[in-house]
Amino acid sequence: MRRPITRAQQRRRSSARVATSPGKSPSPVDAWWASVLAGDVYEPHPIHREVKVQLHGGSLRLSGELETAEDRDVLVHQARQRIGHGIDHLDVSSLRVASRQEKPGILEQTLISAFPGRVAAEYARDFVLEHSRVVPKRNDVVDAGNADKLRVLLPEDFARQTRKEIDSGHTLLILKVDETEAFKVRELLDEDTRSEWTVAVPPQLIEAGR
Amino acid sequence: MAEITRRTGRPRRTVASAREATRARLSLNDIIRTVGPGVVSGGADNDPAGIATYSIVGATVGFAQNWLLFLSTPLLIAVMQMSAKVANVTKSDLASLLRTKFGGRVATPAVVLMVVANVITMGADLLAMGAAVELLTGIKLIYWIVPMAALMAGVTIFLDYKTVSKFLLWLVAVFATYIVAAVLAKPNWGDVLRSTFLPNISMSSDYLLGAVALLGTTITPYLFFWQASGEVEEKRGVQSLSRTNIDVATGMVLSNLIAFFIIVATGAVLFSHHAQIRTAADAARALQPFAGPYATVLFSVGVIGAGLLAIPVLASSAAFGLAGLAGWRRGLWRNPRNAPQFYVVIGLAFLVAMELAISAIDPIKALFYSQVLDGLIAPVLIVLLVILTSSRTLMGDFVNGLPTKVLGWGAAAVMVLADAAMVYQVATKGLP
Repeated sequence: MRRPITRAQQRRRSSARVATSPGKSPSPVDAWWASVLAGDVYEPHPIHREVKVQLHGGSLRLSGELETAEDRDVLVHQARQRIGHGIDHLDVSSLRVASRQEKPGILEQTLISAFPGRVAAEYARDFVLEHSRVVPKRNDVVDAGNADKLRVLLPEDFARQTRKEIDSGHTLLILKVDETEAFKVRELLDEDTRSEWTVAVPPQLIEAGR
Repeated sequence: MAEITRRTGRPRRTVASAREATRARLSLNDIIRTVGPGVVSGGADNDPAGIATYSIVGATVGFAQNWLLFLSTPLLIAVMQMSAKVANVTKSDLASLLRTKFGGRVATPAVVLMVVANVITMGADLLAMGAAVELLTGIKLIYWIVPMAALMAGVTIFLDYKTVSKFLLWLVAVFATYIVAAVLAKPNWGDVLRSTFLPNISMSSDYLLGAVALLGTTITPYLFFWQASGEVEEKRGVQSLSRTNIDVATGMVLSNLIAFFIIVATGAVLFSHHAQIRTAADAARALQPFAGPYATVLFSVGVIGAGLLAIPVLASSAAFGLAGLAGWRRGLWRNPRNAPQFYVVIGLAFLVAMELAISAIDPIKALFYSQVLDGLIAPVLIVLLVILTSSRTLMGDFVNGLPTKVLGWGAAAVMVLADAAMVYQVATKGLP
């Protein structure tokens, strides 16, 4: 299993990628900005996937919903940096911050995705963690070689069913995340990776003291 | 079971289950702020086909089926809350869940039937909107179908439909005038109340067809898919289940309240004079006690608003269903280039519906029979939904309680009984 990284570390990494030094390959965020300024406004932002972009002449309009005020500040800052470098005017009046009542730290949820092989599962894990910025409580890739782990990772019903999938040659990616982040992770697993199916174990209380 | 402390800012309190941890005490302000997507669903439930069906029921059998509408309200709320809950617990939309839980052999026909019913209903709704514009302008409805379909397809594919729908709700609010119209029509309120609380069952083909259409347009299959997909797009999760339940219940009660007054108004104005509904202008006459010569204008504006609100929901539900079944990228927040198959399905649904609308002959019949089809399909989907939400493996602490199970199975049973009686009656005595 990979060593978990904290959300703060992940944010620092994301921010660091924004300012790529010359000579290095561009970060996904830089590449996205480059494609937007080139006129491709349909490619979703690598992290803030619900942000919509309109580019008319030199006027750039960003709209949609972001998770936090910090996310909004970072995105607006990135856009402002590009004024005079491909755009003349910026409109962020319709860029909102989602008002969320849900609190993290109460429930957790385990998501299971089936892949044709270990390499595909590992790529999917990296992709999902990069694009969702989620810090999973556990992330495990399970195949015939380490199938015994299923009994530890999953409730009995799920362990039994998923064991059959492994016996039929699948590799499973198992991510345990905070329940408030499970929608985002599931969507990426289900729609944006080579997963054959994705299921969710019902939300459970986060055990005290963990 | 582990004990944790809720982070509410209130005095410390321990909870013993995931379900208990998500129960929230809501203030009136919370409730008012919560109301939104469920009301859009409720508005979409009263689409032009729904308005036509309630009007025909009122004109054909008077108040005799009020009890069925009353009975269907808690059943509808339970089924819609199950749709919202299963999406919030599993983080998945309905078609994708049906595929993973039951496999393609069950999921594919269930979703395809929903898609077929949706496209037929879209065609019928387009006809109704065309008829409404014809009433206003005098220009034949056939000329309005293509521009209206193109406008709605454009809004659904290229604009933010969720924002647009909040404005469209105000057009549908026109139907609130049915409440005033019903009061001004001076029905016998004793009869109205008696027929609402005391079942009155007849075995005539007219009555049974009306019952199936009324149930089909009220507990309508596309709304289950729309509600579940809406929850996935909102990404609120189980912590918001209390809010979602209130939102859904508010939307459905408002929707059925309007339906109730449509039946009362048409029953009082048309049934009592043995008048039948053959055209949109006939249906508009039920508003005459309130609006006099402007009844036609009011009715037309309402039908146009209802169509604008509901047709994109029908097309999107079809696309959510097929995309969930096939595992395609989906979501109205996505750009068309980012989810091409999803938007192609929406475009195709509009094209086929347009073709159906152009080739259909009788708008009122098309509207009514599309709802009969919904009534035949709905029980299949309700049964699957109840099985899903009653599975402890899938739902954990959020599994259906006894009251929800009773209401869910009750909804399926009522619809199966009405369907069976209608099919038997039509098979032996033919269509009325």
